[in-house]
Amino acid sequence: MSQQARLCREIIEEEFGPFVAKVAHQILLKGRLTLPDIVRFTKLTPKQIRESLVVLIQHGLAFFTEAVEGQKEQTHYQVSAEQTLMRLRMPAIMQVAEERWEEIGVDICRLLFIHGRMKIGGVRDWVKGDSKRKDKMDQYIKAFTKMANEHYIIAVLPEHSRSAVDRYLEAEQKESEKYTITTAKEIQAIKKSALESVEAEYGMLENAGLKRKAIDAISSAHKRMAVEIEDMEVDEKIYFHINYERFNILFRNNSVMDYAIERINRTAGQIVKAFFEHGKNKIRSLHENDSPSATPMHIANIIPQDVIDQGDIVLQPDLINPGKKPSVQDIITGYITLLKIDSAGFVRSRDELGSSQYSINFLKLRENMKRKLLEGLVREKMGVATCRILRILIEKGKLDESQVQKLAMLPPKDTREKLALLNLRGFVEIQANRLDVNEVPRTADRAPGRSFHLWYVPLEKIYEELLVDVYRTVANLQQRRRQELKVRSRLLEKLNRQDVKENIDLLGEGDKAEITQMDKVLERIEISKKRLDQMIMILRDF
Amino acid sequence: MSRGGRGGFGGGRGGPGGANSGAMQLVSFDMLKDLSSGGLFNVNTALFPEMDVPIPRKPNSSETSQWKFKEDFLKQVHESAYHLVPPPPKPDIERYSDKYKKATVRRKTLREIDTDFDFFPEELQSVIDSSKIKKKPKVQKVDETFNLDEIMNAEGEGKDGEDEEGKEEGKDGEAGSDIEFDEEGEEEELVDDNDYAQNYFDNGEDEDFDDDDGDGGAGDYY
Repeated sequence: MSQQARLCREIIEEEFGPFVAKVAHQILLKGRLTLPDIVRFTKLTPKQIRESLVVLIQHGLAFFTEAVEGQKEQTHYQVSAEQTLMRLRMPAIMQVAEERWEEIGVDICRLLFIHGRMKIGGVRDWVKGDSKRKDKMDQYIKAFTKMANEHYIIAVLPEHSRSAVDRYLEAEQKESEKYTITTAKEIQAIKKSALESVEAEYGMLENAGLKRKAIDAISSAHKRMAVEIEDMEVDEKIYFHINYERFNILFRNNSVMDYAIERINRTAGQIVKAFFEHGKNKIRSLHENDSPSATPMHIANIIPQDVIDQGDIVLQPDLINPGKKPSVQDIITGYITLLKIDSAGFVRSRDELGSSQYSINFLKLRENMKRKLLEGLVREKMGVATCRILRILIEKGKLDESQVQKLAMLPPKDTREKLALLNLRGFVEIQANRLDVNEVPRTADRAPGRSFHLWYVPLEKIYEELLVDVYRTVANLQQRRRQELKVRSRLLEKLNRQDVKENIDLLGEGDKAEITQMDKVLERIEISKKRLDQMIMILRDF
Repeated sequence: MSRGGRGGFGGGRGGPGGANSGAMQLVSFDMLKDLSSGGLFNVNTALFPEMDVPIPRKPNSSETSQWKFKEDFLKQVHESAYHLVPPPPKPDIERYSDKYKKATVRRKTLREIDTDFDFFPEELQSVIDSSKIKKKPKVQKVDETFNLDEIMNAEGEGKDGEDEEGKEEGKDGEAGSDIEFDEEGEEEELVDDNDYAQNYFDNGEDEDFDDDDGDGGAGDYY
């Protein structure tokens, strides 16, 4: 069974219950389904299925396509696996919200996760209804507006619920109606213009839901301030939901910073952070290969003075005046050079944009982080020597067994064993080549006696398999959690009683010990899931 | 004897909670160590080799706070309208603990959530929109196939009758979506089948009767 579908099912079951999970699972396994199809496959009642679909669409996990006017088609539904898997990251997102906007941010995020999407009026009502927080109303509104301005939450438009592929196909259809006979070139032109029109619709959403504050044009001082602040108000009628991409960008930046700190030193991490601060407003997508470029001057402006004064970089002393402390400019340039030289490839110079422009090189970083993950895994599972063999093969390409043995400095018997182990686990593969080639052979005959074999590492394939493995592990953890809860069902029933909820001391000592044990177990499972989620982030999202 | 044995079973399962796995329920770990063979079962087979399972690192502070957030969220979402639960079981015998199990917080239903109806397709709008409750067309108890009175009335009242019937049909049509209609149609067909069986299937007894009568009538001539 598809591991991704299984994991999505577990996630949904934990939050929304078994019915929604069953419906989502069937749609994920079978692609698009109509309502009668879902009835047939899940054997639930139509009413339950309709309610489940409403829940899924409300949370942005499912899309639908309705029939075009006049054609008698049924509405098809499909579930988005990516959106479902993002929900795994919810605790991390809430923690980021706490760091930036404290408890208020956490509350807003939680509301958005529970309801899927909300208007700012909905937040207002919730705050009003909650007695402990009534007086902080304007803080909530301010936080919401700030989050919307920084694109951490983003507007939802009706088009979002309808699947993107169908929109694209519709646009293509519309365009092709203009032509009667279509040549190959025209078909290409149609496709291109359809794609552009869909993206134009879609791409306008960056500032959707926000409108400029109505300023009084009479008072000029006020006007100046408003232009400077450039904060926009939230439109009351628009629904907002969490923008996972923005949070992912944040996670990625933090990850790169930690990597820099680990490899070089703390100040290098600060420099990387300054790069990100500088380009903060221009980073839009996670898939960009470079960060917005910056010069050492920009970095120097952003970094606080005490970081520079730490003096943990040793630079070439000034030839004229050996006692002079290096200037800010020199220190920063020194660090940038260090980051550039480092084999992880943090920074690269962008000469095409001008002199001394540097940017963080995400392309190389992505590869390096994935590789580091892979090597760590192999080292833990199969030992240092095996990991060494793997690294040799990755760096050198395709090698013969004797070459591997020489480079790895291991006895031949060991290399053969370890290569076989790696092959068994799917980390290396063999390529068979004919021995007697002077001219192009006419047959693809590769008898073992007449051919030589080379070992190599299929990196992309390994990363994909690894991702599926991680999905399986997280789904297993979730299953384990369900099992632990099932085994303790009597205890849970006791906890759900009304009198126990009010006074926990009604339970005996043994019961209380069991409760702490259960909490510990659940915590451990959840934390393992979170650590695996970080692996998923590196493998899939960065 | 057997009663004691069964009591032992039940006690083993329910008592210590999650500490025991399925196979080891009857035997505690202390007993296992005492037995000289190293356990009742041979745990070291080819499929399950003895492994040195690594222990994960202890959680740091940010991880524990994330766990708290998740716990909080799960509690709230289980109480929300979005967590669909199976319908409550039918009331059984009355139990003492029932009075403590009442759920005092009433869940919101899906009709009460605040959302834009434009986000949802036609067929799902009835779930969220309380104004669009589908009225199931009343199951007609009257025999559908042959109702002389209706036809007589329809002809007699002329325009008025037609208008009334037209309105009723219109309401039925609007109340259902395409799929509802299909379901209703299927049900009607099934119902029709039964009527067909009732109305047109003769066992053959009636025929004999008729024949006899015919013969009797014809016989009179003889």
